[in-house]
Amino acid sequence: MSEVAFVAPIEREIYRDYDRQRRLRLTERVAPVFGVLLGILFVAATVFLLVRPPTQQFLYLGYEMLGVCVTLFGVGTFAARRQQVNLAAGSVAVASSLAIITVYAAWALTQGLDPFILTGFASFDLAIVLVGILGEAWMVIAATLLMNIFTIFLLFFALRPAGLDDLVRGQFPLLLTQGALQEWGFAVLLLSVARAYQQTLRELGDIRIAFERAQKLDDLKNQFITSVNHELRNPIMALQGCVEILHVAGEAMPPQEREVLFQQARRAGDDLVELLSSILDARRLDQGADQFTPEVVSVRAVLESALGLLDPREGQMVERELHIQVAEDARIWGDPVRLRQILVNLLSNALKYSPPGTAIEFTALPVPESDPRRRTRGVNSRPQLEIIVRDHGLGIPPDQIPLLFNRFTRLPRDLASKVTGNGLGLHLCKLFAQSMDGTIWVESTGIEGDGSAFHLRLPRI
Amino acid sequence: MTSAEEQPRTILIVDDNEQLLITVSAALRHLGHYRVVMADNGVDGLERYYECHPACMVIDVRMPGLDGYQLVRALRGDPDSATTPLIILTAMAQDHDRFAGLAAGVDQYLLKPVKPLDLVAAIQQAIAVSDAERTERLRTLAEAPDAATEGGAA
Repeated sequence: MSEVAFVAPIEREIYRDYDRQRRLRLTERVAPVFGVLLGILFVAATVFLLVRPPTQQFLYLGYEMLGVCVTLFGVGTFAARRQQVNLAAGSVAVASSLAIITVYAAWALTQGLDPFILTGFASFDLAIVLVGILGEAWMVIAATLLMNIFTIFLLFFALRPAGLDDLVRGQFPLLLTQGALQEWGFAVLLLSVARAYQQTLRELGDIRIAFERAQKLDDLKNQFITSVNHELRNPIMALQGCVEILHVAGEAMPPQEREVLFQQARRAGDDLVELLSSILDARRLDQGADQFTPEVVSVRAVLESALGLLDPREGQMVERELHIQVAEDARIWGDPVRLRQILVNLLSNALKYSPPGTAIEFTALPVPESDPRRRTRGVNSRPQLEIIVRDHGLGIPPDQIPLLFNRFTRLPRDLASKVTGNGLGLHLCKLFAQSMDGTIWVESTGIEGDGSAFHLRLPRI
Repeated sequence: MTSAEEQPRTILIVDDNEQLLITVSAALRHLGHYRVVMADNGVDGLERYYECHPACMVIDVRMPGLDGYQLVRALRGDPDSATTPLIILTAMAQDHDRFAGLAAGVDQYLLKPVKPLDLVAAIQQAIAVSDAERTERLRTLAEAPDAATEGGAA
């Protein structure tokens, strides 16, 4: 089934989370160790500065920088514990790069460009590797560029002790190339590893998501079969029963009672047809075979026809107050039949799931430009109309909301109640809304009496 | 439909589906010539039992509040109703449902859809079983290992 193979971008968010976790765990381990190592160096430097106070003032600056780096490792450790991955990884990356630069700059400006510095090039790579493991791609590139600049700085500005001057001068291009290339070599290696890792993660994740989804679908299907089985047997028995009673005893019956049985039989037949057509609708929309040509649709007109279609048996509609507030120019770009189906569904749910006597509110108003959901919902920036159907009934427990729009979903409490349904209504609403470039969601506290509010957003004209 | 020599027997139907209540009640009144009392949930069913002491009860399983099996157990637990003929009429089609129903101590387990005449026949059959016979059957059931435990889908 195509639905299983396709993994939505929102589901892929998990992978980003996996990677976050990995970086967080690494930072949590690396930051304190490096912090302690640098702390030891810092203590040694303190002792050194006290015993033999240097004449060069910049060494004090370097000393202070080391202090800053130790603090940064501390910040990194702390941030990692508080799950702030970017702050943690960033602090560790900056601290290690800065510490290495400080130490080597201090050496280069006091002792000069000697073999110690040249072997020190390897430490620059260490900083890049560390950033590459903990940070994101841009951090690796930034760290590599920083180290490149520092390498060039060292080769140009470090003191050159007399004996080494000639040597350095003769091998200058070689040293420069070697330093820079080596750094980029590490950077590219790390970026490739990260990329390969991401890819593997995604492949495994896709399989896992598809598997979980297939499993859930299977559960839902079983639940659906049980549910449909139940929903089918009642109207069939009513239909068959009424016909047989009428056949056997119809003539002897008072006409009034005969009429009741005819009505029952007809109603049972209607219920069966409705059940079948909603199963077929869901199937057709799932396969995306049901295309339509969008047109301008007046919400008011559709609402009126939807109200006419509501089953008067549901929820004692006669006793209800319906508060309607529809904007003058409430028109959408879509399909009137689908909109009507959504409205019938939402209104009949509102009737079914709230006690007689409570009011039901229907509003259809333009979404203000500034609405935050407008951006987060991912629907493009076209003007939108929001239709809200609010009831004051049972509400929906928050933990059951995510499942609500799935196929075949019925809340556990419905299965044990006299509210009928086949678990397809809201699923169809979602498919219809999506087919018109719209979104649908529900807000409910799950507290009885607060009820629930179904929000439907569609492109406005 | 009262016949001159005998009061019609009372049948209590407990089902949360209104369609079913109407159909079954029509079937029992017109084809079986019974008097019919209806309840649309288990608790109501229990109350109605004590009001009308029916000759037989037809009980659905999946109902809000007290479900069919709980109702059956409640009735079987009371000496007053321990030998009342009970028929489960349900849409729950699986074998374990059926087993759980019979194990709970009902006379018959009928799967919807049931034709009206078949239902009337089942009621007649259940009523024909003597109290002594039913007591004996229930005693055997109680001795069967683990028989009276929960049904899977109740």
